[in-house]
Amino acid sequence: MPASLVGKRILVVEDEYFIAADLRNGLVEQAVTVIGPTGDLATALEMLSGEKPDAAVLDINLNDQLSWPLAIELQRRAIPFLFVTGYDSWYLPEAFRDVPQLAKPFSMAVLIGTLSGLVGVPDA
Amino acid sequence: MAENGEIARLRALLACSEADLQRANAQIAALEASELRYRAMFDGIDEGLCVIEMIEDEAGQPIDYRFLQANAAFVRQTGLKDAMGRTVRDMVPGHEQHWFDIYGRIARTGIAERFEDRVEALGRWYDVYAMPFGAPGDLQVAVLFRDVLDRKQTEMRLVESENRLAAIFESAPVGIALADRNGNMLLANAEAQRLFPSRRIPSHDPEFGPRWRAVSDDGEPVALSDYPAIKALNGISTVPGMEFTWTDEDGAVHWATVSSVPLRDDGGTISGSVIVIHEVDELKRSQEALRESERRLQMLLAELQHRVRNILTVIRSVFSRTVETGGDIQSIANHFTGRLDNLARAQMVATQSAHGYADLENLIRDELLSVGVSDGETVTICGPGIELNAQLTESLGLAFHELTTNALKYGALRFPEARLEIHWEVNLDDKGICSLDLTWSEQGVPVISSQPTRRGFGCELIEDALPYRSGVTTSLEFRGGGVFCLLSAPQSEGGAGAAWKEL
Repeated sequence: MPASLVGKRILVVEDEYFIAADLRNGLVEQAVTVIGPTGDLATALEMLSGEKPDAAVLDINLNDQLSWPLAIELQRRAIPFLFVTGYDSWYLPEAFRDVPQLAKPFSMAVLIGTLSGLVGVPDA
Repeated sequence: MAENGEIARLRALLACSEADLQRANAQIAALEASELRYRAMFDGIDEGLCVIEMIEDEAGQPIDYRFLQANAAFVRQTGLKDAMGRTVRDMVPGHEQHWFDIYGRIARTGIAERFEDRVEALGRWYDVYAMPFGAPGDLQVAVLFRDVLDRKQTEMRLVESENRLAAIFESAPVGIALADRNGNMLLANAEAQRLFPSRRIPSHDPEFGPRWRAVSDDGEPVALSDYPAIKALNGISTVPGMEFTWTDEDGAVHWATVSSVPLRDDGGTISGSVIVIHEVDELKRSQEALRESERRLQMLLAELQHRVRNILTVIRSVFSRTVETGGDIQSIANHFTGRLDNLARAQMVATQSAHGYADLENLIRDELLSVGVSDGETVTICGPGIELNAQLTESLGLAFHELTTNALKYGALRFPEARLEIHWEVNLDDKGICSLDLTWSEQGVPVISSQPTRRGFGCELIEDALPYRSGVTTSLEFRGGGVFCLLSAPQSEGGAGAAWKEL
C-alpha cells in the first residue's frame, strides 16, 4: 500500500485554471494541504522559499515559461515531485529523466498513487 | 752490247712499268672495292643522306638547292624519286624558306648544324644533321636526315594530353596539391594556392597552419600525426577526406574536407603527398539548415502535443463541470457542445492569424452570431480596435460564451425590451499599467426569481479561471435589470508577447 497523503503539504504548479482546480479538488479530497495552485513560475519559487512541501506537482510549460528552475530547486532541496505535462519524455532535460511524468490528460487516481509513492519513500 | 744494255734497260723499265701497272691495277681494284663498300654503306644506312648544292640569287641569298647525290633511303625518307640533278623548288614547290636559310648558312659558315623541322608540303618532320661538304667555295652540304613524324605526333599528343590535364587540374573546383616530405608544395592548382597561400601545407606551416583545424566526429582535438598529409607520408591514405575548419583573413570560418594519398618516386619510396581539398561550406550550411529546421519541427511538434494534450485536459475538466451543474442530458449536451464550439473557435482564430492574435470585436460578434444575435437596436458593441493573444482569446471567448448563454436563457437576449451593451476602452491605472476594461451590461431584464441558485460553470470561469489563467480582474453582478460584468485585462508581457494590443 502506498503511503497515505493525509495531512501532506503539496505544492501545485499548473497554469491552466481548470487543470489546476481539478488537481486542487482532487488533492483536497485526500485531505492534502495544497500549496497554491499557481500558474506563475516566480510566484511558485516564492512559495517554495517560505515552505517545505512534502511533494510537488509541476506542469512543464507555465505561460510559455519552462518550469526547470523550479524543478532544479526542488531537486536541490530533495523535495520529491512529478511532472504533469503534454510533452513527451524526450523533451525533458537529462537531469529530470528519472522524475515521474504523467501525460495529460492524466487520471487523478494515478496521480494520487504516484504522489503517495513519492512521499512514502523514507529518506535514506 | 750497247744494244743488249739498252734492251736490258728497256726490259727493266718494262718490268717496272708492269709492276707499276700491276700496282696501279691493284690500287684501282682496291679503290673500286672500297668505293663499292662505301656505296653499299651509303645505300645501306637507314637514314636519308644526300649532298646538295646551294643556289643563291644575285644578292647571295640562298633560294634553292640542287640534289647532287642521294642514297637509297632518300626516297623512303622523302618520297622524292629521281631527284638527282633536280632542284628542290622544282620537286617540292612549297618548300619553306627556312630550309634554304639553314643550308645556306652551313654552306657559307662551314659549321655543321643539327635541328628538327617540318616540311609541310611532304607532311613530314625531319631530324636533320647537315654539314658542309667539299671545298668551301662549292657551297655543298651533306644532309643526313630521318623522318620523325611518328615520334613528333606522339610528342604532340603527349603535350596536348598534358595541356588538357593541366587545364582540368587548374580549373578543378577542388584544391589539388603535391607536396614534398617537408610540406612544400611542388605543384598546386589555383584553388590549392587560394587555400594555402603560403604554398606550404597546414601541418607543416607555422604561419597559416594554425588557421586549419581538423574536426573529429566526437569533437575531440585531432593529433597532428593524424592529419591526412602526415599520414600519407607514413603510407596511409585518407580517402574520403577528413573534415577541417579554416579561418580566412576576415575571420570567417569555412568547412573543407581534406583527402591525401602518398606520393611515390620511381623506386616506390614515399617522396611526399598528394592533397585534395574540397570546400564544403555550402553543404555544411544546408546540413545545418536542415538540422535547424528538423529541430524547429521537433519543437513545433512538442508544442503541438503540449497544446493538444492541455486542451484535451481542459475539455475533460469543462465536461466534468458541465455535468456537475446538473440538468437533463439534453441540456448538459447543449451546454457542453456550446462550450466546446467556443473553445474550437478560439483555437481557430488564434492559429489562423499568422501572429496568433485575434480581433476582440470579431470574437464578440462571432459568439453572438453563433446564437443568432447581431448588434442593432437592442445590442450595441463598441470599443477601439484591440487584438488579443491566443491565451486571452481563449479565456475571454469562453467568458463571452457563458455570458451570452446566460443572457439567452435568463437575460437581455431573452426579453425583447431588454438591452445589452458591450463596451470597452483602454485605461491607464494608477501604477501606469495599461488596462483593457470591458463591460458587459444588461438593462431592462425583468427581475426573475430564477437567479442562479448554485454557482455554475460561468461564474467559476469568470470569477476564478480568468484571474488565474490570464490575470484578468473580474467582477460579476446579477443586478436588477440584468447582469453587469466587468473584465479588466492588464497589458502584461507574457512569454508570448503582450496579452493584447491596440490596433
